[in-house]
Amino acid sequence: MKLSNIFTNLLASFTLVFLFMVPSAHATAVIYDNDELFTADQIARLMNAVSTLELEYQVGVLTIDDYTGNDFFYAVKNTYAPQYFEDDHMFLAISMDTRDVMVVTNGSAEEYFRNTHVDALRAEITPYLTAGDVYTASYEFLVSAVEKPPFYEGKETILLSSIGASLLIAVGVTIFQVRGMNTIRAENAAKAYLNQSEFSVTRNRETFLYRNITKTVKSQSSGSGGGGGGGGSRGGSAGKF
Amino acid sequence: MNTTIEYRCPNCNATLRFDSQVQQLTCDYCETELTTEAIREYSDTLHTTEDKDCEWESYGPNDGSGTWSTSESNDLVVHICKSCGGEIVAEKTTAVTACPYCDNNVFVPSQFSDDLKPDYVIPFKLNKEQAKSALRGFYKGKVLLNPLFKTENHLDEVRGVYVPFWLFDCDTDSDIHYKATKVRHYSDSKFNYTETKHYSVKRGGSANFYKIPADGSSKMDDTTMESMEPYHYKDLVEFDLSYFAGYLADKYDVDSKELQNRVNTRIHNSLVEAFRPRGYNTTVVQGANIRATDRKVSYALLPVWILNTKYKGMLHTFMINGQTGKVVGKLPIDKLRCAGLFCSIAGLISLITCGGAIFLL
Repeated sequence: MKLSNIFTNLLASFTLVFLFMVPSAHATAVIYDNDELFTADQIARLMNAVSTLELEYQVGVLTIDDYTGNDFFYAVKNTYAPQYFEDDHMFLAISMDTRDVMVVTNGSAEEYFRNTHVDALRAEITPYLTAGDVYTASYEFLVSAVEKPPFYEGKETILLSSIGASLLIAVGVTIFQVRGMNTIRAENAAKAYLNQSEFSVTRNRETFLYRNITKTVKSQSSGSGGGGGGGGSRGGSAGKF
Repeated sequence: MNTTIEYRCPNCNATLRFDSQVQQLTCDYCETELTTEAIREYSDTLHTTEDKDCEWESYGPNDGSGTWSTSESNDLVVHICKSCGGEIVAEKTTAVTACPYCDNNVFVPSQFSDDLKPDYVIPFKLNKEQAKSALRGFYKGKVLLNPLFKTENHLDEVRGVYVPFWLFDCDTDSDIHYKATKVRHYSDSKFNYTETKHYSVKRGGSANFYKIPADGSSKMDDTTMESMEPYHYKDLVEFDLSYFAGYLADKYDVDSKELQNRVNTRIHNSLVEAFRPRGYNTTVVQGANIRATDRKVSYALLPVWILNTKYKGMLHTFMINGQTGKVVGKLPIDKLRCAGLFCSIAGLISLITCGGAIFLL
């Protein structure tokens, strides 16, 4: 047997072994339409939207019909997520009754989609929900959910902030050093020569004049990130539509 | 011709020097030490004898027709060194100077006579070596200073000078009016509120100031002199010529009245701060009525070391408070080191923060 043939056979064998070693994780969207907002056809199309892709996390849509709690954000994270989804997940929760929407991430999905991404994604689909087009909102969500953002996408702000802060600190330290090179400063007060033991305040009168009140509208109830216990979701972005 | 005085050792007749460490007059040749009282008594006897021999008085270029122009003679005077007989041309305000021929100190008593006599003096606490050491200490930690400045430069001149200062005392009774605000934040279910309450606050009382210094020499930069403050008056003693042995001195050429505005401004600023009410978010001064009483002005000579050094052809002057050792001056900035410092800090922090941010994300 020629040496080249041996090499070819070995390569083919290793390739086959390698292919069997790496599990093929073709994802399928998980749709829990408790509020019956989709037709059967729409559910099929939503499920097929991600079926050809390999994902490390589960993606899905959950519609909630009988939600009565006070805090949609915590209810979804701690009650619905563990009930309907695996540990690694990214799903869209919608309650048409209360007009609540939430994008939930956990596990490996949370590694890819940071708060800024999740917030942006929710903002992107909210207009569809506002218009009552739950299917398009869900479809757009699923398509976006399987397209992992590049590693640095969304981190530019943090990187730029870091560089900006570094420049500011550098400017501050340099100015401090430059000022230290010159100790000539005008003395505008004579505090050092004020006899503290004989200083006394004998008259002190406060008169209330008037008051101003300015008010600003509180931002809409929305939340993102943090918290969660008992295996519940950690990342998320919730709001009204 | 101006009369001059010098202090000589009663033991070996060498010139005496005021030693700032022991606060006595010291002879560098026979190590005799004398108190200021002792030398004054000894010197008085000596001067009585010298007064009888006045031949020096008729000697000098300006004794007859005069060789100085009017403008020159307005600013310059000629003194005769009693040690070597050398002729010393000095400015009119010079009170104590060094003879260029024998390096002896020459006092001009007329500069300290009657109204010109200072009330107080703070004797030098730092000697020349300590002043140099203070300057070297000033260089430490200055990363923008080229190391060559420390190694290559040399002190061309180190002079201990008693600078004339006016000291202002006064009692004050003040009424100061402030406009103040208190800010409170609260919210309900729909809105965030910011409530700002505005108050008129009037505060008044008494305060007194003890010897605010203002330099009375036009040759000295006011800002530089202010930078050397504070002087501590625990060392303030009554004027005595013997403290001047080994040092230079000037008499004032700026009248105390010319400095009143500057001193009043400092008093005003100090009182505004001292009476400023606490517990408000903002306070703005609306007006101040300050009545000063028992105003006194005294004349003092305060110690300053002046050090001149050359670097790359440029003269750099540093002044050191002869009592506290505070160094005042402007060091040359090495632009390359400045850029290097900026880049290295910015680069290092960027690396750490960006790396940290990427790692944490």
